[in-house]
Amino acid sequence: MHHVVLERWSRGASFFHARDPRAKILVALVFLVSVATTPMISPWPAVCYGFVLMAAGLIARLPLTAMAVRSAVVLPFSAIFAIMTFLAGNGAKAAELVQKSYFSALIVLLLLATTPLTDLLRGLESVGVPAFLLTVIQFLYRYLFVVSEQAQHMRLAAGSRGSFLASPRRARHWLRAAGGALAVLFARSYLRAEGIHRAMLARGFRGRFPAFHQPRFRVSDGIFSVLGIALLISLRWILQGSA
Amino acid sequence: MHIPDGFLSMRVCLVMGAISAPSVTYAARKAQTELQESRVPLLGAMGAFVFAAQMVNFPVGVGTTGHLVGGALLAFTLGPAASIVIMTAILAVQALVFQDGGVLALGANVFNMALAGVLAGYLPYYFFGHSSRKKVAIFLGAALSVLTSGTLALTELIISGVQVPQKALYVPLGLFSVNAILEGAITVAVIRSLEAFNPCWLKKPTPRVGSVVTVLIAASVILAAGGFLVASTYPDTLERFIERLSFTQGKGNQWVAPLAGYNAHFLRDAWLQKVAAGLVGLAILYVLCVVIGKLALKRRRG
Amino acid sequence: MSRLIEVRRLRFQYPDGTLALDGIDFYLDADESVALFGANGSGKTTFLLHLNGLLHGEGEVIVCGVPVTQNNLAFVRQKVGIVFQDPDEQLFMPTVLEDVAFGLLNHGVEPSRAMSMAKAALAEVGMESVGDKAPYHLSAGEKRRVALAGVLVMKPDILVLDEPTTYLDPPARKSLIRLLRGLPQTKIIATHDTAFARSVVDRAVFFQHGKIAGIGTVQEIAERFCWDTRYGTV
Repeated sequence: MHHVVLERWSRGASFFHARDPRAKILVALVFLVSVATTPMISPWPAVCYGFVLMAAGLIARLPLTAMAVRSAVVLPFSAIFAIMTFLAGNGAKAAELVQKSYFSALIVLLLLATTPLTDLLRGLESVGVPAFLLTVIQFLYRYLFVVSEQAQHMRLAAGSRGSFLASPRRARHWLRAAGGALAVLFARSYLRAEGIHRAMLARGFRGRFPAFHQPRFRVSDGIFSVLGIALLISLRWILQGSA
Repeated sequence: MHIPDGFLSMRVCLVMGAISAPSVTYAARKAQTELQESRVPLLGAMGAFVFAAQMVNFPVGVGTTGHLVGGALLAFTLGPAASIVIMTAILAVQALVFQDGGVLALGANVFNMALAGVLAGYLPYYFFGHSSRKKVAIFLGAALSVLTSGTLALTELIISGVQVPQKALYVPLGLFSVNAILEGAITVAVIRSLEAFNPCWLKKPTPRVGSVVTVLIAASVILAAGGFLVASTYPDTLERFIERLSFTQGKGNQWVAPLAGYNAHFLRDAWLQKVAAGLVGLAILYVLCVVIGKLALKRRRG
Repeated sequence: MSRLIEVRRLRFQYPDGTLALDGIDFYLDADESVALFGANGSGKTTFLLHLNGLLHGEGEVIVCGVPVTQNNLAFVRQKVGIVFQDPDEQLFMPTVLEDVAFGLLNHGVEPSRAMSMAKAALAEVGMESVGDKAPYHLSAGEKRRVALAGVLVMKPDILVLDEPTTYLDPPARKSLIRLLRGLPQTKIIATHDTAFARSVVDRAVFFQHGKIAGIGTVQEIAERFCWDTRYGTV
């Protein structure tokens, strides 16, 4: 599964892995904005951004092909709108949509492949995102795969009993089955949450989640941020000129 | 519909982000006081449930599949504040871990699905949920939530310069309608089963006057004006919108390539008018809900 | 030697009216260990939840000489460590190390010290290599051990385990037995597995319809109530 691979990549070791999450978030945001605002009429932006991303991938010691393939998950959606835009007579815009969405997905993937999600969330907390929301995300992520497995089992069970909508009479039956299955999943999730709550209280939880280790923003992180942003802004400026 | 990065103009991203960030922060604080921090596992677990439920595709026959979005379902069981937080968490995980939806576009996606979708879903339930028409309220809420988020997304895309030719516009709108009906039907079915398991899981909608109603009415106005709010970042276009609406049909196929990037652009697209009309229709529906609801409240008290 | 646990006339009714415990008298000395047997729904788990104040019923529950009230829950919960039946509910933090350290951090232990104590606890249960992993990736047996580490790190006096052999395959079950036998704490183990109980504890208590129906050695109780799975049907 995708997240399993991502977890593994994010716990690797490289220059990027060792950087403070906040520095990486900042540079990633600047990168995303650059890509989003670059006019991509000539092929140069794609070449340059592709090169930068490839270099970053190599520095991060990540498998380049696998990364490229995983980012392709955005392409179906982009393709639909690109085709529509193309049919409207604007082929350039269509190509731009596809390129921008793909590169943006690669940038986010690069960020998550060099930063474990929990570190990322902690970095976000220190810049003001509500801790409550971040803890919900943390729990969601933790239990996502447990619940997904249960959902898959239910789907198989439902599918093996034939859930195709053949006639209006069957619709009612189908709805009742779907509703029932989802309600059971809901109930199990709810009851599990109560169990978790009990386990938390049993180990002394007092209402606020304890901080484990705070990432420290070091000089190297500062240098990385400044250089990264400078590089990206210069690139953007050059590409604006080439449009 | 999760909008990826590279589609929305920076202006739209920033405006939607500026609206979403404080709204979600407010909802988080509200959920925290309503439920206490020890309830975080509940929100997380239910978020995992909705996330997983979204991934399950139920075959509807004829090669299409449907699936639950879940914003309305969460609102009916855990309340709107908690639902906003949960849906935001889901969208964040989808964007970051699964690259489903962009990071810059997160503000817009959160507005569409976590804010507008949840509030739109809750509104009919808030006013009619206690009555005998509960099932209708639930169906309507769930359908409205899907319609709202889809239409808002489409509007944002068009305003950002993604062109949708006339015939093609009916496809997404049609899909939204089908999904809306499906969402309504599945949500009703799930709520019925849940009530059989444990009636106290369903949130009792007790309309209280004062701040809550005010906030909800304000929210409904914002929802209805959502598309126009974004459009108003281009002040010159607002007057022409109104102009367009008054000269209805008969404009024929026209599309003009908008100027890309930073410059404010105006779309002389007759089909934008149809989308705007859709939004106006939604707005009227909300206003009706609000008005009828208030009348019903007055009658009960009087 | 003072009693570690004393329970007198404990009665508990759930909000829906079910009477789960109907006058329980129970005691436990240090260096003793006891197994709780009984059918599902007989009140074993409900009883265990009273020992660290997660539930409050009528009657008295005294832990290490201190009656369990709202004011001393932190003390009680450090003395009584519970390993719950479903390890997925217990391992709720994103990584193993964070989960084991959770209890310590809640009690104000400084993060770096908590981390080293957590690592030591993991080594104690033989799980030192999985510190950075997400709990999702562990097998049932590994999760059970990590949950145990998370409880042991708090240095409790009493170790409570609710159905610890659930989901375990025979090798995992054997290594759990070895592990538990090596731990000095007083143990209370709710289980259906009589052979497991026999290997780890001496005394047994039989729950029936919210009451204690029998006390004796594991063998005596198993025979009296036909609770041993070795002996075929009826």
